[in-house]
Amino acid sequence: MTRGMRDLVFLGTATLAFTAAPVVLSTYWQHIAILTLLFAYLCAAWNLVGGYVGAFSFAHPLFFASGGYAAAYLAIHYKLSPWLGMLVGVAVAVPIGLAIDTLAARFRLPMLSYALATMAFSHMGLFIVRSVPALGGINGLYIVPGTSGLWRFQFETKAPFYYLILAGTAGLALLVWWFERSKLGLEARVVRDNERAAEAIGVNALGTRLRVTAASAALTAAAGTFYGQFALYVDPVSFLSPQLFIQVILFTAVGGMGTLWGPIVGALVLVPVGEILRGTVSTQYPGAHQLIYGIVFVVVILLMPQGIVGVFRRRGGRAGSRTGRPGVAPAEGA
Amino acid sequence: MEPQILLQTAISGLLFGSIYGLIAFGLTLVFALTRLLNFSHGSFMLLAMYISLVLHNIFRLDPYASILINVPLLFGIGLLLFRWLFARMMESHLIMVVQLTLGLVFIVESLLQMTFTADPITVPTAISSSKIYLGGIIVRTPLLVAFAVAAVLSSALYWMLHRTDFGRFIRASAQDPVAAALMGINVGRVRVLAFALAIGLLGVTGPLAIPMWVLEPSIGLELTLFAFIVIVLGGLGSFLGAFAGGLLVGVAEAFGHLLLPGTLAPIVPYALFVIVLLFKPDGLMGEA
Amino acid sequence: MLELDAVRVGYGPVEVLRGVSLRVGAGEFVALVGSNNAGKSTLLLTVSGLLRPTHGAIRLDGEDVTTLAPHEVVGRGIVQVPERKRLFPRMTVLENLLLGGSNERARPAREATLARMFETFPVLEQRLQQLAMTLSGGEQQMLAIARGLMAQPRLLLLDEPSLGLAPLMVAEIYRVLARLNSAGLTVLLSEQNARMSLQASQRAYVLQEGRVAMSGQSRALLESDDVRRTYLGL
Repeated sequence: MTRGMRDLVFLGTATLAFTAAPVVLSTYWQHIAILTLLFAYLCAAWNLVGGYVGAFSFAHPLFFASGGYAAAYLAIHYKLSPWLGMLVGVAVAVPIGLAIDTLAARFRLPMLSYALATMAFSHMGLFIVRSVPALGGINGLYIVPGTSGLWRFQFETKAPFYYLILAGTAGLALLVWWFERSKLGLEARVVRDNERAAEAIGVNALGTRLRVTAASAALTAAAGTFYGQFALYVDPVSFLSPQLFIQVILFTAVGGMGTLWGPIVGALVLVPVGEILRGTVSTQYPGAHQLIYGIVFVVVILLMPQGIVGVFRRRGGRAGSRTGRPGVAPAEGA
Repeated sequence: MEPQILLQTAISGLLFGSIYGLIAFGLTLVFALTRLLNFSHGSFMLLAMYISLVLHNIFRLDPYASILINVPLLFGIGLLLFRWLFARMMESHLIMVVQLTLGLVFIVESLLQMTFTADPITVPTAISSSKIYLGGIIVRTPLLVAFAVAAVLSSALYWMLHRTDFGRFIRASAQDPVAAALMGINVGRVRVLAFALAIGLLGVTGPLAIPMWVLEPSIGLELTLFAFIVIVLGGLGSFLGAFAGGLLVGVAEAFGHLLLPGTLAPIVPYALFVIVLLFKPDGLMGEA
Repeated sequence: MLELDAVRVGYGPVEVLRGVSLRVGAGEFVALVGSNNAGKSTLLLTVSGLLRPTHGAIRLDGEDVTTLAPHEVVGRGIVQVPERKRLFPRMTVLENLLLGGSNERARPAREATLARMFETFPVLEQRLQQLAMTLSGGEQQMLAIARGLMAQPRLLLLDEPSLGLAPLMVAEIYRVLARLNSAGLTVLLSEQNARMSLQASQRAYVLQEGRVAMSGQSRALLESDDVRRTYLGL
């Protein structure tokens, strides 16, 4: 069986197994399971840009917030179904993503500048959103639970949320599986590894990046809608501060960037561990779970630069240049 | 708008800016010598501030006095940090450095959160609420003190860089580490010491800034990002630029608060940042 | 004084020096000749400690110095004027010179050495406060050599000192080097310009593809047909 087929089988089996979760888990654990899958989804969506294209983007809070705020606002003020709100959120997020990337390409921003610029954009988004009274200012918007039902994206129990996010994550995994084998996926990786060489062989670097960014933005926006509806609350800090997506990036890196299973494994391992710690150690010492995250992260990055998945793959990885002396050629920061 | 208010804003901006400049100087020191952008820089400043808090709570020590303890403490932390972590990162890929230093942010922040909870805290100093009147301008005393110290310290650092051998070692190692090594300069040792100096410096800026800030474990990354903004605006790798950039950002921020509503005001330095980033010809790493 | 014993150096999988052995005696003026990628620069960088040999040894007065760090090599008295000078561009002439003389051995007498440099290179004294990058090519090379001399070398390594310089300037530089050598400074000099270096030196090694292809008295090499054809374009 090829690895591709194996991945599919694995995916199908895992998804099937996971559907049993709400039956065997308590409400508390269902909540954690939902967050775990949500993170897995967000990690996989971010990984498209961060891992496959190699663009270290901190702009995703903007996409996430677009989905969350659009759906919440439209549901509250226009009684619009959050599904439609999700579409609006996507319609807002994608142009933002495209605009940022086009700007970056037009000005030839190298990787670090891009990371910092996207970080700045996210912060600017935070300042703007919290200054708009219509969006709830610094307090955000509360979604009053009304009639439940799929169309209203509100449910009485957690289980339907679980199934939704499970479907979403499984679907995204499938999408990534296809993406890895598609022309776009190949082009993305070529651009990641050497943009100039990619251009030389006829790959439109900008076009590739834009398409992947659009997908990533859309997917992230959808997750934003989901989370807003799940928490019944959208606010600037939860959606736009760096905290959430730094964790996303962290989980993805630990799991293994640029791989199918990396982001998912990263989230699947770290989120429950974190939540367990939060429930136990962190009650005594708030924040302890984040300490574990930080330590695990640093250790993994130092010892397993390819992430957990990389250890299993036994890929070559980057050969670190070991001149051991002040390098002969002044290091280019890489 | 009254000229009085403009002047007040400008002066307030310059005073704050002097602190930013000092923070940025340390970051520049690290970057110039190692090409590493330390995302956790601000977290260590935060650490210094919390240490002042502890010393205040336990020993009733005024935060200004805590500088005497904070500086050697943070210098030592800097030495260890470089030896254990940053020295290894020098050959690493850019992304790895970003990730590692972000991980460090996490670690420091969670340690702070574990010890102090996430609640915002303010630390009183002897002069926190006093003000000084200069002509028609009102200045909070702690701000003026911070400016004075920052100005003196900045001058001293500048003098060190240009008039002492060690300062020349630093600049040489920053401009061409290979040539510096050929001069007999132990570039590795210069790096360790400069890094420790940069972190030790935070032992001053932290306590200085206490009267002006509300302490929360989560603001570490904000501080770093702000310092990044300063050094990018001032010219990455330039020590003079760090000081100048600090003043620039301080003034920009002050006018932002003057012209925009409070929740939106911080956007000004960030907007400037993005603009400069976009127009910088070689990006950040291109700078010598 | 300096001895290389079957030294092999590579960058990753690529081997540049494939077993080089040579000697430089105290007080000698030895030239290293060879085409562009023969490995001359690599050799000098290795002697200075910036590269570590994969095999072989380097000895200074019998002491094994193969694994010394660059600043330790300078501490032993081996100073290099690197290829393309590598001055500190945004530092003044004075600062470059001061830096040259900041190693432990040279530091105590730095002021005196500085005065001597001004005698040897008067033009530098005129340009003291100018940034190194604003000097002309010839002046920069003077500065680079002076900077190297500030370090009180026992053995001075020079990598392509005549690169990009006008013939008049090159002649001046070689005059200075000859004077220094007769005053007791040991010189190992690598040049693509084989004629000048062979005329100035007593002995020479011809490096080809990482190996010593020929060696001997410089005069003899100058007159050898092989050398004339390959390296002197005759």
